[in-house]
Amino acid sequence: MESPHSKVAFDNRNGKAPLAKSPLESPSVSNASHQESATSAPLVPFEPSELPSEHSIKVPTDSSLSAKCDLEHLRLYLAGGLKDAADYQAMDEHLLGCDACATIASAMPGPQWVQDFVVAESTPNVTRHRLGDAYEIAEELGRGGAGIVYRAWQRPIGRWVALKMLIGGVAAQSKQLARFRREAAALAKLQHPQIVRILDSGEQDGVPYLAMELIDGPSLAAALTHHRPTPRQSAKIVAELARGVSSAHQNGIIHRDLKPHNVLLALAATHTRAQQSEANQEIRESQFRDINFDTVQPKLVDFGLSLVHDECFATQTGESLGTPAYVAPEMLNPQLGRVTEMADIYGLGTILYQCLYGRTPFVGSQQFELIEQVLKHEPSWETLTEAVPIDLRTICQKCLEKKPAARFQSAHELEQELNRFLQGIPIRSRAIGRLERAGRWCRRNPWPTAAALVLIASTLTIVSLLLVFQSSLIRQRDQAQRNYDDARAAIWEILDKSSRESAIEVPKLTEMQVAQLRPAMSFFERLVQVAKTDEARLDLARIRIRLASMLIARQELEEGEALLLQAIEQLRAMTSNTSLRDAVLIDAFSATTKYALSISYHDRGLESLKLVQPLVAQSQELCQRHPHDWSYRSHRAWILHNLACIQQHCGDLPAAQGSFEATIQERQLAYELHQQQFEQMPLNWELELAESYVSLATVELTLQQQSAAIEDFDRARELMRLAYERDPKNLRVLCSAAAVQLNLSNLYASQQQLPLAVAACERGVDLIEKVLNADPSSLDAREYGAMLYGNRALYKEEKIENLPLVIDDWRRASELFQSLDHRNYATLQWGRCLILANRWNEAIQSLESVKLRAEQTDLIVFELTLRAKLVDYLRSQNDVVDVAESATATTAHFASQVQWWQRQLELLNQQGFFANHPQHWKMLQEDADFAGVRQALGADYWATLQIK
Amino acid sequence: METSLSLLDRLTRCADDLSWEQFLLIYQPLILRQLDRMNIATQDCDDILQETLKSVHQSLSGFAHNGRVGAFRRWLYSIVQQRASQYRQKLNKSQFLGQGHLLEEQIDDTNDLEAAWDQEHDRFVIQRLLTMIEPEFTKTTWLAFELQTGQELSPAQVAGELGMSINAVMIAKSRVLRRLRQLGRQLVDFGDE
Repeated sequence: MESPHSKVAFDNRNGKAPLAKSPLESPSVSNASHQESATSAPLVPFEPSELPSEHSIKVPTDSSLSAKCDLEHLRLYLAGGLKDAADYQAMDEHLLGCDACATIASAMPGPQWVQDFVVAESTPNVTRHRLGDAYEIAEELGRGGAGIVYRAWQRPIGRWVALKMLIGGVAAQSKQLARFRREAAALAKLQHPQIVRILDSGEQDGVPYLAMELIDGPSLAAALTHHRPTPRQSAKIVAELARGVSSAHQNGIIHRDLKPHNVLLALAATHTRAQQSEANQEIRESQFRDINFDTVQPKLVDFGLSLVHDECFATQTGESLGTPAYVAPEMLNPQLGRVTEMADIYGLGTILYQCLYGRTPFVGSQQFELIEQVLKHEPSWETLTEAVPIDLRTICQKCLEKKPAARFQSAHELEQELNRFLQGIPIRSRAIGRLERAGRWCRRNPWPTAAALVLIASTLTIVSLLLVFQSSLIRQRDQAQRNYDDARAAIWEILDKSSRESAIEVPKLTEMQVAQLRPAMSFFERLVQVAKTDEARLDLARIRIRLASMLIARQELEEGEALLLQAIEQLRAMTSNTSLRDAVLIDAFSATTKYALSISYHDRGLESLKLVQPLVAQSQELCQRHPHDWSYRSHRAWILHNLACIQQHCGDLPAAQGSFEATIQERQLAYELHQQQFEQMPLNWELELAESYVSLATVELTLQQQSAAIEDFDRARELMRLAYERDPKNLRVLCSAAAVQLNLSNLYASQQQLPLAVAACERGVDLIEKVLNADPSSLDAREYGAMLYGNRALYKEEKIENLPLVIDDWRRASELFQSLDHRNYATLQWGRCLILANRWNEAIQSLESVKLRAEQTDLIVFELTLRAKLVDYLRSQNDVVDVAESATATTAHFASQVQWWQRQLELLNQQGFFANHPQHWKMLQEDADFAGVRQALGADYWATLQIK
Repeated sequence: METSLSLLDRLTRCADDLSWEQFLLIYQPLILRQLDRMNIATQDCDDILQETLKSVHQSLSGFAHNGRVGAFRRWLYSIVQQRASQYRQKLNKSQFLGQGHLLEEQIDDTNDLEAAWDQEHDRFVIQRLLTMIEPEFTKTTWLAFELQTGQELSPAQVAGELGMSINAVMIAKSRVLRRLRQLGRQLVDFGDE
């Protein structure tokens, strides 16, 4: 049998040649995708806080600076990686005098090993058995927020202790450390029978530990899962706890995290050491069963969240709180007042409630639900079993008051009240009637929920926020302004947070952001109707711009453009307000530019140019009016960038080059201003600048200015390296870095340096797979990925040993391409290589998915050629196969190929393909490659085909 | 003290008392922890430690670093392991009952033990080296370094805190790190050698 290789390999030129210039190799294509990323990129800069900043400028671009201002050199210097002492000395001297380098240096992350080894706290010397020399560790008793607690034998003294240490010991966060030390300090001050005693504290290998008296009973939480104390027992336990709390308060310490888990029940019976040492699981479980609430001694533990009274402050965002089920309202919402001793009264109330009712005061499956309840709702006072004495309920109610001032004013007061109940004396607290409760429910201000939710914003979406806002809009118009401020702050915080969120762990980021932006937009829409303030209108316009940018980046052009037009109209209408005028104008300019860029995608280039060109001068005016405000410069840079993209679309490359250069200059100015304003570079500045350099380089490439292009690519690469070092998980960085590699591969290929081109693809593929792993739906990433794979396959030398790799590359490219044309091309290439590799069955399958349009003449010819190979192969198999089974399969394949040919030829003929391209008809009739097909279809068939 | 040589260089080339002392300071606790992990009774750990150190001392001059990161770490580990298994064999002989299965179990988790050693080694050595070099620096320089790394303050914050220029803060950090690298060369993986 004649080898199919040589012939198909020859055919491949047919396939390759017509397309070589269109989808993969032309820089203009990758440019186009790049511009898409550019349209989405302006999202980030809208809020100054998230923006990049300044100085890179001097280093990568200004060649006049002394040789010592060298980024790589500086990096090595910081990491201790320079060659010899003289190098260091020279750099020491240079750095002492060069503020630019010092600034850059201070923005560089340290070398990785410093992060890994120096920053991390050392492991405490706990192996399975010991901590230092003093403690032998027997078993783990439990884990909590900050620590892990072991039962341990204190050797020198010879007693069992509860030994608490930071979880893992390794790399303890400074927050955890602080929390731990806080607990040690607090406990050291306290001596009370109801507070667990501290026996020893210290540090082993830099990690602190605490030795506390070992309580061999269960926690109250555990006990409550098995038993329900009687109301009297409950009152007694809480009264005792109140005594302990009171003592802590007198020492200036607030526990802040009172809950049944933090109460241990000491069994009143004294244990011998032998008994204690045998306290294995079985014994402890029996303790659970036999617990006697009359004789246990409750003891408070876990002062890790405690506050020393003098340093009372409102809970900070992000500080770990107890679980919302037990936490006092004022800890969720600072507006309710500072966290004081009253927070512990509330905590004691939750404990009492759980003892009495067997559940937590508030129940919710979601954290935000729970928080809303804690802030707004009354607990339910219904019981399923025995009735709770009204006095005890009243006491509990008073502890759980939302307003700290309405609770018992000291733990001592609570203790006394409980004792009155226990002794049968009338209590002093007044029961609250149903009516009053209802009234209070209405008064309760729901707005603080917003602030509380922001504290744990990571767990929720704007949607839940809006539910709260909406209800309050109806109820509380009079408070609209204050509420609006809260709401606005909350919404922007969440939006900003999620737009900064670029880490690999967040899949489907854009979808999530769109999902957040839509409800935020409808919120502001409603608000504008109620509040009618310019500020609200500006917010609405900005949200619309953001959402529009997202949509345009996702190719949802129509909706995006409509939103932009709305925003522009709204902004223009507001320019009469003088105080906001310039801020409004610059936003309007940005929106206009984005709109223009978007319409330039569908061939309205000239129109879009007309829209944008006047803005160049107008925005310059604004910048001059606000010479110290970096955000105007930054906006102007984006205006220039988008103008450049439009010019590029319109084919005016020299103009585009100028605009990109102006963009870079403008960015650098903006960064300098940011540096002056905030003393740091804006976030992601490296990437932003790098993207400008990439755009510039691709234009230079098309203008045949190769060396300039290479220089600019290098600058971009260097900047991206910086960005990558700072934040290795940033998807945008990875994606852009991959785009640079794609462009480089095109560049090398155009200079016939194919191995270099392949190497660039390799690097790009590595990068893009990371992105696709995290966000398989990212359009940019898919497009870059497809082109990278395609380029790699194209530029790889077509040797038989490379074939399996090339095949995989084409397969992956055809998976990734979004546009049908490109996908078909990649699929055909895939099929061609499969045929080359003699993998016929796969080839047959791969071609199944190809569906071509009539005008894709070259691809149609490509496909016909490949299909002819299949027919040849199947015919040859028919002749040689003698195993019945595979013969049947082959025959079936053969039949279906013949069918395909008949259908396809008729279809093409109907579409006038052969009439328009008689040479292809001739090819089918005469070319040796199609001899097999001609025979397979039979002379009769050909006769029936009349060219239309 | 010759400062341009790394600790390992000094140990292998001249093996002076000071270097050996520094070596003990770093490695004694590390080896003890490893022995503990190997399930060796506390009272026997000291003996094995002494045996190990003796071997190390004798063969240090013969140790040739192949330039690869971790070569010394693995070499040292192999000695520790050798000594530990010799000890176990002795134990098996003297107790000749019921220890066979124990030995097998321990062989099974050899890989885990080595991984634990590898994992702990660099961090531990770096920390000890830092303690060692601290006296070589002025208080301010050290603080400028420590606040940046240990406390993770930004250079600007550190500069504010200490009343230094950012330039000086960066120089201080670089000086400490370079000394650390220089001393710990070939003992520790600094990631880019």
